[in-house]
Amino acid sequence: MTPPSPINPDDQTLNPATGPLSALSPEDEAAFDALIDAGLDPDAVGDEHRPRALHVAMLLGLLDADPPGGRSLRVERAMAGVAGTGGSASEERLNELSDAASESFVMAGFDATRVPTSLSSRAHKLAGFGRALTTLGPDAERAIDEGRSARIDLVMTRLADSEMGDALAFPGAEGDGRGSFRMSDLVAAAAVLLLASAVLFPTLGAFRSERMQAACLVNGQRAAQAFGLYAGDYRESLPMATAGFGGGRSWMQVGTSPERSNSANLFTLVRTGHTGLETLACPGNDRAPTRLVAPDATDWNSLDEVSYSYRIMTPTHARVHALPARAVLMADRSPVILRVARGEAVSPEARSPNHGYRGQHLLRLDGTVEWTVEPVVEGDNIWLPRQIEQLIQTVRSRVGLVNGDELPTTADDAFLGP
Amino acid sequence: MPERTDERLFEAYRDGDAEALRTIIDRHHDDLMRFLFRLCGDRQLAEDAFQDAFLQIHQSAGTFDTSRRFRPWLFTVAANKARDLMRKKGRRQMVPLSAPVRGGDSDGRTASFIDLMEVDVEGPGQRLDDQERDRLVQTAVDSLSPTLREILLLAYFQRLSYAQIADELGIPLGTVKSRLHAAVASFARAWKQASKVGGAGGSDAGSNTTEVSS
Repeated sequence: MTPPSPINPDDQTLNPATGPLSALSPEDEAAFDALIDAGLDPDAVGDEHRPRALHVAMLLGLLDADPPGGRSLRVERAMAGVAGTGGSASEERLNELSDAASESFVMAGFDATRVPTSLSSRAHKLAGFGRALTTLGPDAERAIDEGRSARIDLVMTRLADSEMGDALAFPGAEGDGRGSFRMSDLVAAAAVLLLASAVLFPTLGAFRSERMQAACLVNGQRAAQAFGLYAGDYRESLPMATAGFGGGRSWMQVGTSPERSNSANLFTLVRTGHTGLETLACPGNDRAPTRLVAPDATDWNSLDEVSYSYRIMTPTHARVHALPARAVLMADRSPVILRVARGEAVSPEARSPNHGYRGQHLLRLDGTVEWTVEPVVEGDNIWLPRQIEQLIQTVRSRVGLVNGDELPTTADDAFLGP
Repeated sequence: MPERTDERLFEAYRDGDAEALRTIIDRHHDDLMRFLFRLCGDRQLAEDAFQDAFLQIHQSAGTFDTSRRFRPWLFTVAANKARDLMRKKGRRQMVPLSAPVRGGDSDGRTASFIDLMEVDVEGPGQRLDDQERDRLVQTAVDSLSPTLREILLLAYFQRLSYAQIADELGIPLGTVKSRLHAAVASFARAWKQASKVGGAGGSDAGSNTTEVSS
């Protein structure tokens, strides 16, 4: 049976707001009587009156506010019976009234206020569903917003790569039947390539670094998921392979002493299968492995291979609830640790080498990933423990910078001024 | 100066103006990401589908008829990419959108009819916080069959007429209607269930319901 069209509030013959039922047309009156006679069951109404009876039943259903088991439910059941005469269904279906409301809502351009009054309340329900579907929670909205520019940049970079791929594809290389290359083609192509490389090289360099940065952001987001999964699997714990640090043991001994290395703590995510090694390989670190060489590996082989610095993990803080939600969990690798390991002087405010010392990504405990230019977050230098930060601050405040009254200490003390 | 339409921007992009595409991406970024988040139920898949969609848009640029609307095309391409990725990941079995609504029920049970008035949909800020509400909505969306989920989200995010949806998806108008009705009903049922389990207070069938504030 064809479902009835949505109720038209301007339909004078059926709109109860325009007057008493006696104002119904003779046909509607007959249908109404037939419906009453049929015990409000439109299915039991004869073919002649059934379409109008169904409309009347719909109106009655809308006007009725009976509790379960009351008249409205009977009408609903009756209409369900009418609409269900096509056979069984394996999925949920809307009843006739909601069906009409849905159709009317879509026809009104998803604007519930433009739906006929008789279907308005159901259309508002649909609008409510729409809002629920199209509105995400704060975390998801933040993830969408924070990754916006990197995401768009990544698309543009990929498209630029695709363009380059197209431009460099030799005609006929795919076997289009236009014959093989001649020397003149190759010479011309070489000339074009030389010209293109001169023009495009700076642009491509910028594209490359943007792409690396965007890919690193994606790594951070994947790592966030991995941390979340790990915490779910291990009772809200953060990855930790070592028994803890202290007692003169250095957590910098990457590869040589996995039981003492903080990177082995981060590597746990790979070892337990919560993420792949490629997630923890920043494209800005060309020494970072993306595949496991040894299936039973427990750490990277050397400090150079490590792309991301992980919070120095202690047993006390190795649980999600032991740390503030905005605690920094991971970041692009620390320039300070690299220089310390090489015995070089450090600058506490240095930026990560992963992205040309332009800044670094931070992954916070709440799963957000952000780009920061400076390594100081909420007043805290992420490369150093607080006691060293305070020491540096004390030295700087007491000694101060150059005042203009300093002199070279010895003859071999190079010291230049304006 | 009036803002250029998507279609004019896309023409400009095809003529070599790369920044025109950036404008398009920027314009649709939020809605498309929300759509993909909901459709995939997985942040990383959504990110990948977003990238793949625009790569596909670029590769198919020459085939797009700019007398048609760009946004439905973009969302349809994105939905296809999301479907491919989910299939690769083995997350969900996908059914073509043109698959029939009825039939296939071997046990002969009758159809389950939903009246929207039975289902409470609370407005923003009511009882549930946004985070919890988002989780419950996603639970409800995830419980739908992929086909219904796809058409429901496409319809709501694009706000197209039945005819336009049928045109974009290349399926009969009647199929769009029956599928969308089934999708709304399934979502209503799933939402009711999810909100009941999640403590949102979905009402029982037939009880008094709260009108959704606009």
